[in-house]
Amino acid sequence: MGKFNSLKYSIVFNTLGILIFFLGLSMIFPLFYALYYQEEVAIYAFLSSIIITSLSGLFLHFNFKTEDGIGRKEGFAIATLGWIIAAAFGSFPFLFSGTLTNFIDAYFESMSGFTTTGATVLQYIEGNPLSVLFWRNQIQWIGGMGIIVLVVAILPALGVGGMQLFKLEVPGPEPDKLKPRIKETAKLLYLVYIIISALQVVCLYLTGMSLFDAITHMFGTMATGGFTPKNLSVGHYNSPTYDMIMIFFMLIAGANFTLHYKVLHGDLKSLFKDREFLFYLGVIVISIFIITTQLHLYIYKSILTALRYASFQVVSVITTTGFATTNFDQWPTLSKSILIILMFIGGCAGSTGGAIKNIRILILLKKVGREFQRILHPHAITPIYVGDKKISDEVASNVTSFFLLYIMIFVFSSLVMAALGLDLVSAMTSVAATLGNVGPGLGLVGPTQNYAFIPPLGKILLSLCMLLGRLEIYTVFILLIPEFWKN
Amino acid sequence: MLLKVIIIGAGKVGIQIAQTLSTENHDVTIIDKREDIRQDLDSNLDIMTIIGNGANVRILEQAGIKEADMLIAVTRIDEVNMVACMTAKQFNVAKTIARIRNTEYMYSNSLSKEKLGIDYVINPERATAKEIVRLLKTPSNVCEAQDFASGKISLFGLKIEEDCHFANKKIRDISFGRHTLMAAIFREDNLIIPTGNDEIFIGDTVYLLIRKENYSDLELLCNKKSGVLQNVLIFGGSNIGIQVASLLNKIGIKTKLIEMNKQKSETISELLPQTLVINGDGTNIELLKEEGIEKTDGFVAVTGYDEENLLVSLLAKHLGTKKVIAKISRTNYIPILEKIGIDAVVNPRLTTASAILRFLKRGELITLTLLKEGEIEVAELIAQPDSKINDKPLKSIDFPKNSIIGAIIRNEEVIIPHGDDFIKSGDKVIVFTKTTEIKKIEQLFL
Repeated sequence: MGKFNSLKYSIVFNTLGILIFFLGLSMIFPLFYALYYQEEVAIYAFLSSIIITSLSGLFLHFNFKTEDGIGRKEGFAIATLGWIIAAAFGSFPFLFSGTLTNFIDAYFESMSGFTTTGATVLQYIEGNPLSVLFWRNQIQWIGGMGIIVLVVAILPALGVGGMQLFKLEVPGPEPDKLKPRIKETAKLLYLVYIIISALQVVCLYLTGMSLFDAITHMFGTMATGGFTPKNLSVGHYNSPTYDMIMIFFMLIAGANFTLHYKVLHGDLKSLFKDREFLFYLGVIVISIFIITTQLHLYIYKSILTALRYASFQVVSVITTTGFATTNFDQWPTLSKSILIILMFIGGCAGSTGGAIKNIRILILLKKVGREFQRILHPHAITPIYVGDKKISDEVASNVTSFFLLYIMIFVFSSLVMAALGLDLVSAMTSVAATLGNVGPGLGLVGPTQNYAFIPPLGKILLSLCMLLGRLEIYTVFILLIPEFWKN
Repeated sequence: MLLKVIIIGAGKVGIQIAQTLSTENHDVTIIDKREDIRQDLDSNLDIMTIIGNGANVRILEQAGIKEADMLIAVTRIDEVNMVACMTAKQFNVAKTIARIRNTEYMYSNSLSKEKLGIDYVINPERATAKEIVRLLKTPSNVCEAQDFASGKISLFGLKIEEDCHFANKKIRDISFGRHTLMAAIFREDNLIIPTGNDEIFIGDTVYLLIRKENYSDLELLCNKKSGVLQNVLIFGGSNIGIQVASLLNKIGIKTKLIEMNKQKSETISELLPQTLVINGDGTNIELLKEEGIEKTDGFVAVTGYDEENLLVSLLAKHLGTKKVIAKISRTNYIPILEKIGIDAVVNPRLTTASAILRFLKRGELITLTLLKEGEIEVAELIAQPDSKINDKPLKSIDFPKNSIIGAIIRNEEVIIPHGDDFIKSGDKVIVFTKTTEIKKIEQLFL
């Protein structure tokens, strides 16, 4: 299995080749839009991007032929390098079309897309070629379920290697398998993703949105990404109907897709038996309640209006989508503070959402409770249960370290951002919003602002934060440990 | 056709079967009680792991028993295996296999297979004992002996020693006779599917397929006589030891059995009236000499301890026993054993896994046996009326590498194939291949 051997470069590059090749092929969709709208600059941009990307992919794939399998180490290398490289190739259409002129900006935008963050450096979104905006949202959709999971679903016989890769990309402490074979599991997850996505497009289209807007907003919603082709985000439409549809689908995207599979199979019960899902709903309901009350007291006269804006923003932030229907930066402090907390909680395991994840918070809370138990009864055997599932000590300790690492990265990056000249709120929320893959923060990076003003070093750091958030830290950090590269 | 298989018990046998089936892309779900195995299984095999009791209906439902084609129960506990199979039959699982150690269950007719819902019962000790007896009957440098096609053809693993007359020769310069095929060479942990240009070296293990009518060729090839097996000394009164003794007694071979435990020795002597049971320490060289180890034809070490089996077997070989066979439980020892002078090694795990796999007919594929810790698979496939491989001279077929056609069975007749032979529809074809290539071969027969 090559578990303890030195890193096998050939299989890493071979697999990355396939990933890049398919990424290149997927640029055909925006190319169609460019041809349809006759956006000449964009046509050439996409044509050259497709050629460069797919040829690089083919070159890598055929230049590194090997019989080796993917072991643990190769898995880490493929996942991390895969995302770094995909973001680089994904930035070409922005550069070639002239939408962005600077590579760091384009890379930031692309990474923000793939990691479903939704932080943008575009000062004006409208006015850019529609096909480029389509691409900007399409990469969110691909990154949502995962580029590596896609490769696992497409590639024949990855076997055990597929499981290694799958585990690294599907968020949460312990990914579930739907079928014995990982390839089938990956395929089913994508199928569920596609079905729900199609459903949303239909809902939006039937309620009057144009097809282009419906598809791009679906990309942003289902991936919990948050890019939109509008300057004012979803606030552009000022439509309660769209708000409700978006809230519903954001909620779904932030929950575990394994549960959705079960629901689609008629097993509705399992949804409401799942402790993580209930916790997730609980947090949302309580947050909406507090914020609605406060907004009603301070801003909106109508309680319904308060409820509408509160629920949209709460769901948008906790699912780490980052759509906005109002400038929540101007809300009262308590409401803003709750939103910041939600940025850290994030979606559920096995969802397209980011941040720490509800299951981890739940395990941490139970673990704290257990410590009290232990002080009272030093000899008690106190396993941690979530629902009727026992959480092993390894998982519990992994979750604790994850939480610690998450906070450490947050603190360190906030310091760097502050050193680069941002004020306290902007520095901290810019990191929380990128590390948690949310998108907009507060202050200078608030929902009506953008990330364009941040110095290049800051953009690079925030891009790294997005990657760390999406791949859940360990996968990326393990590559920085010297032992990884030794035999 | 891809199968959905549920395996209960992630012991050595369970994992071996899961591995073989999952490399062939079947859907494998494994159920085991121990929580700590999950991590290991998940990172090594592309299968689903469920923690729980395999005889529990809810766990079985979770494992997808309703859609399962097959259930293999190989936990340590016979009763769990039986209950799991009975439950599976309630769900109309087509095939159920149980490992049952306790032979007492098998005698009674009231617990017949039909009533229990078990389609196939495997007793590892009995299967291992049979293998030991088969090995005892072959010349001393044969380390592997298996019968296929209801005994019409046999596979022998032959260790090449210095006195072997085809050591250091090219294969094309050796005359094997029309009815013998050299299917594979195993050298320094590598499998080589030989061509005429390959040379055979001392230390290799070569695999030969020979027709039943031509067994006498084997002795010629080995340059050794099988000799007449007259007496066998068995070290260890384990289940396997008892079974070996009783099998040998049936064919009129004298047996002695050494067992350390007094009480156990007495029980065994009641079970085996024809066997001379000696109560003593088998590691004691004086005792072994007293019992005439120098003049013994066969020595079988089957205690529960690998290390004892190994060392005492070596001792017996040095003292002059013609053929020594050791039972080893830990497969990681096996690669070095045959090098240090033990004639043959048996491993109950591989034997059981092979036996179970042989029972699982997957489409047109039947695994006949696993060799070399499961790395090599000998499989039987049936050529369909429209198989791609039909009616072409074998030399013109683009066969996957590391694979070879060992024999063709046509209307009860065995053909050892050569480049000009054909495969016809309905033929049973015995293929020798690395486990990873089996899918490609199956394609050829579709």
